[in-house]
Amino acid sequence: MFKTITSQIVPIPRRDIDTDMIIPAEFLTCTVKTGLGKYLFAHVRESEKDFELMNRFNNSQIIVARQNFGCGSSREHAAWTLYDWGIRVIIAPSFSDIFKSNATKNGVLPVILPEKVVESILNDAIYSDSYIVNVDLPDQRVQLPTGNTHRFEIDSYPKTLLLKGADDLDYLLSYAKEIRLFNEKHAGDIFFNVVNL
Amino acid sequence: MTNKKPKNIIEKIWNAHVVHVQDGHPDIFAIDLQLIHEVTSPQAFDELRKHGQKFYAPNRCIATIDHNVSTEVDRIKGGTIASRFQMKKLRNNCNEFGVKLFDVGSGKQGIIHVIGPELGLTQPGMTIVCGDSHTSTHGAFGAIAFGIGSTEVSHVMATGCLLQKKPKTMRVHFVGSRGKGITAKDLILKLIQVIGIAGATGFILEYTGKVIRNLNMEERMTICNMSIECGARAGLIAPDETTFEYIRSRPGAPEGKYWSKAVKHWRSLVSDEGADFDQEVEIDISNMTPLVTWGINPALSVEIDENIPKLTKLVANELDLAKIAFKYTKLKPGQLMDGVPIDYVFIGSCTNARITDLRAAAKIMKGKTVANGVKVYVVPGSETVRDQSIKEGLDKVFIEAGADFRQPGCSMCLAMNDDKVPKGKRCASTSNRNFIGRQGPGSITHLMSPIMAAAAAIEGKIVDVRNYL
Repeated sequence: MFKTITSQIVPIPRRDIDTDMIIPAEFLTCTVKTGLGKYLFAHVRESEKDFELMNRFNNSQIIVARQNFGCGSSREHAAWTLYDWGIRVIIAPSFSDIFKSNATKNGVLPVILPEKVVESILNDAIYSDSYIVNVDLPDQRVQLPTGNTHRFEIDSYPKTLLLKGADDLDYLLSYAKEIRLFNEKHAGDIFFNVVNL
Repeated sequence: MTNKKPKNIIEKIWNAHVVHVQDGHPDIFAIDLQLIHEVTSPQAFDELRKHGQKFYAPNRCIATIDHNVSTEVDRIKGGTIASRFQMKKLRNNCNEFGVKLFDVGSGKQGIIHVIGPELGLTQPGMTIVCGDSHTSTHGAFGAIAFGIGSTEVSHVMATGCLLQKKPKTMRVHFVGSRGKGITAKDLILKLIQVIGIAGATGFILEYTGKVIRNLNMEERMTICNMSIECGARAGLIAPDETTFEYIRSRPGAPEGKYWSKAVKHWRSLVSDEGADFDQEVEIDISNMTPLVTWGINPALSVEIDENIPKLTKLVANELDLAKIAFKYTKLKPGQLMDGVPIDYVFIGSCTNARITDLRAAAKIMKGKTVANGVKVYVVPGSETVRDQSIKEGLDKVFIEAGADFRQPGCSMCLAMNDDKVPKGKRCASTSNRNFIGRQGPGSITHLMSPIMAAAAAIEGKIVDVRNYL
């Protein structure tokens, strides 16, 4: 499913981009995962200067942002919204735990690069109309227009998940027997009762 | 020998829930209680159908409607077509898969993180998940409780398990004693201010110290609730007599011989003496005064008698964010929060909408009048909290003061329903996030404790609540 992405990047020189910014709560009344792209950065795209290039580079598949991307609410809608808009890669120095997990389940690759590298990308890309980056997931490499390449780390499991586009529910279901045996033993440590309510 | 190594409470609970370990894969991790609400579940139920799966353990799950339900008197008609559709979808899904739903008007509906403990379902040693980042609230009982995405919600529905990488552990030790006007909200805001909004990313926290021990359960819930605001997946407090006393005689609690068996098990969970943590942090609360946020994330806060930092005091990385924050919140570097005029007050949310929160706010507002032009929403966390408030006459205190005492739900915390702070308006809020537009597009939020919010309601500006105590 996911191999390499070559695309103009959208530089968003902002840290702590929270999932409320990615998709505000008023758009969470949907009951499906699709068609949310139009709400991406709905409240900040026009009003916050850091997001202005989002409008110009609207075919880009890569966002580059500062630290702690995806913090706040656990809404997986954030990953669905980015994917639906066309984003396949987010490059940042760090991510929130929940967002990172949601992204890799939905075809969006979080790439962690050192802050210094991210800063230089942001710096160069803001003044360029053709800042094309190549992201190679199998090789775990990002190639910049300067020719410089940077290796990034990703756990083997989410990597496989992204490469195969697989669903980890199938993996869990293949352990149905172990889960049943575990629960038989574990039942003695559970004391709450939903049935009484 | 390695078995004898002292363990902290997080490791104990975590290890007891690992079903299977395989190299190159996250652990298969068992979940004891699943909590569901209308917003993050419809896509998960669809996944269940897509995979042709049954609900693995419907008797270990409850659902409620909280995020988009209207807080108007007519709670169903008060919403939009889309929100009504989403609520209907939850009813149908719960019906189809046999999940117990605490619907609007059932007498037990409320914010999921308020009703879980209220019903006695949240207990020590458990693993609890919900498609909601404030699931960390349940950690107050000595449980590992964390928010997950909707795909993971479907995994738990289908298998009772998740794939999880073992997190690192951090001990957050509070020292010093609480001064006048210092609430649980101030303690957690202090931690977030000190370590920053990503200070605990990748960690589960254990809160310790005498000041934590002396907190009641609702205060502990306020602390654990905001663990996510410093990046932690979860935060917990070891169970003790206060915990057991709270759970005892609640409908979901064990009875008879199961009660003593449970308490024995729960006591065994506390961190062993000498247990290691991957990281330790100490927060000294001596001499602190009530906290208020001034910026656009929960770490950007000051004590009420402190000035907002001057730009010259900030390092480069913080400077950019501070400039954006000042522009958005229309405040000046170096100014005091004391005296900043407000337009709205919101007393509610999974952080601060329990009965003790409302009692504390009512005590400040009793016999007083809300300042001219200020709109005050008091939104109880659940139908149970609302009923109890009415029984105690708190509703009258709020209404006579000129506040709006509304129906339970998440309300103005995230502005998913009609409860929004209008563009450019400023709100004193007991909720958990002051992100840009969180309470409505263009809204400005200042997070604080219920007593600080109550004092702001009376004066129409942010003030030092200690003058009311």
